[in-house]
Amino acid sequence: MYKYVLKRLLMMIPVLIGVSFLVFFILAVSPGDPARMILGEQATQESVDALRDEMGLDDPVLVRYAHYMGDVLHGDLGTSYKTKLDVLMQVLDRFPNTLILSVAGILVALVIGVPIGILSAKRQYSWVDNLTTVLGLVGVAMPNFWLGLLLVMLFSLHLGWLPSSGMGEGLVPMIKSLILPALTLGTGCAASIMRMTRSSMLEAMRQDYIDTARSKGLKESYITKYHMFKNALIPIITVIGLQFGMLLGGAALTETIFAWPGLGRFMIESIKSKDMPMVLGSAMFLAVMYSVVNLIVDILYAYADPRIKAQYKH
Amino acid sequence: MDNILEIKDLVVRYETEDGLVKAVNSVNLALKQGASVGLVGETGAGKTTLAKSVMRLIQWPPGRIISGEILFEGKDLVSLTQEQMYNIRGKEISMIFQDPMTALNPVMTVGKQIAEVIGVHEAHLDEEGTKKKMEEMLQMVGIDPQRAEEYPHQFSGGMKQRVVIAIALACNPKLLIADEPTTALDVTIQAQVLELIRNLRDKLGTSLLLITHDLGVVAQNCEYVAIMYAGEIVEYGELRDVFHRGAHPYTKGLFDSIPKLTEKVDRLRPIEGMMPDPANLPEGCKFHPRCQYATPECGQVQPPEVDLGGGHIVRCMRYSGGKPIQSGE
Repeated sequence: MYKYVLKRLLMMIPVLIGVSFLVFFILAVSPGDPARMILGEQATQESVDALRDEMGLDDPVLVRYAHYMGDVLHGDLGTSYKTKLDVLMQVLDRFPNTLILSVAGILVALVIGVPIGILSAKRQYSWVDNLTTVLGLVGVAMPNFWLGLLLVMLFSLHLGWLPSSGMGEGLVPMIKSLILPALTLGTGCAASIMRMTRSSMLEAMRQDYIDTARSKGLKESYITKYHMFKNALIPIITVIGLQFGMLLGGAALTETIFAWPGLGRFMIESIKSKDMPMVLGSAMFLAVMYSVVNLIVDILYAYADPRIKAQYKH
Repeated sequence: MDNILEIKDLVVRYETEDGLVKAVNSVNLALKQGASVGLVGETGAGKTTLAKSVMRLIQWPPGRIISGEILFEGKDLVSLTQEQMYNIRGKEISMIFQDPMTALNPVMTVGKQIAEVIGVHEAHLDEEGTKKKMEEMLQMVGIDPQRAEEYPHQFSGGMKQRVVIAIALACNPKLLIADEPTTALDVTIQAQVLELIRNLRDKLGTSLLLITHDLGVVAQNCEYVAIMYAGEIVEYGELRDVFHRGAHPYTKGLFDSIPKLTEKVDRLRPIEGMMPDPANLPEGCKFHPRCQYATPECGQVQPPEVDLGGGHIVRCMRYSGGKPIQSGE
């Protein structure tokens, strides 16, 4: 198992090289001059040229990339063009907020998605199943930002129960400000998790060992929990892991709507101001996080299914 | 109570998109206390459906028991609620399933799977007692109790079937239903498993309903035989009567299609044709399209059950009032 984890950690290296190269290249060819951005529209061409020279912007892309990666290997993700602050510190400063939001979002998704998925599998083709199927499709199809705006209209504008944006100071205000963005993020995920739980449960329910379990005189609720759900877990864990990874990296829109000071919103601001080191640093950090989540999912498989654990021994 | 199990006029249907599947059609079957009955028939004859009906394991949708009675010790199982069935399953009646490869939960240790049934039905046992009983069961079926913490994938097919048997017999059921317990196993393992069931029956006095399509297995293990065809029991009687004086043309066909050591045969004689689609059964006798003795009447009238004497029952138009009708052979 340890060997496996180590192998997976080493496999993250090519992933990171790929991500960094792609992002670096895209940023390099995209229009706009970072030096001009930093100095502003009024700056003279001479001062812009001088800055370009100082920043090494006139070197070939590959040379710049090599320089950048050299710094990264020394743990230096560079400094922001805009704020002149250390990129890693800035990223680490914002990441906990994104993590809090993602965890809250995935919890919402789990609490809604898993029980409803189980219920609609147990009552396949009943009105409960049909209703949740429709709601699930709506949930998947509905754009996050739109749902977010609707929630703000209802709970902030009309009812005035919850703040519409920002992150509250202190535990209770923080949780209050977390509810709407977490609901917004969780709903879409809940729908995917629900659909996967349903189909995976239906698959498990058809298996012969369910007949064996029933023939023992076990109660149906017990069979559902320990025989069906435990066997249905692998695909559910997979989809939860994927969703969580997406939340970590892709909460940008929701963070922007709710002015949540997370990494996603920060990254979008950095892209807008063409703050290359910041975009690169955030992207690489998120890639690492995504890989770590995937690794955790793979390790969880081993706990959900002893057959997979047996494979890891080799 | 003479009969531990008495099935009366049982009708089971599956409602599928392809139509109404008539899996079990007014079956009558009695099982004497302590006896063992072999239920023989081709794949698709409705044997497993019949067995699952006794356990009330037919799931709706798509299947359900339409009518009939299943009397277990005089109590009609069909009229019981699912909650009442919890106390019957695993304790009074147990079932061994066809394929040991899929009959065990892959993510639960075998020890736990045996302990579950003990835990449900023997409430007086504490955790320690349940564990001890579970280990005894493993020992009884010839598995080292130390392997209780292992998962099904660490066991061979024969070992898995032993675990399934241990589960089925853990609470000393009065009736054991074995649904083709050896079909998925190697011949050498088959003999071991059957011997195991036989020994345990001798020890515990369990009645047995053995489902199989192997007449040899029936000959060695059963006192009574029921021949099932297209959802009906076409012949029933003591082993000797059915094997030596088989009356129904289908029974005869079955025996003719087995090679015999004592006769020189160039070619086996299979029964012509295929078993009808249970969603589209013929009128009258279900076997008449394949029957060499069929008369026009066979295609119209459902043959009654006729007792040929000594509980040897046959469902065929050639027998009426216990005597064969002249068929002009």
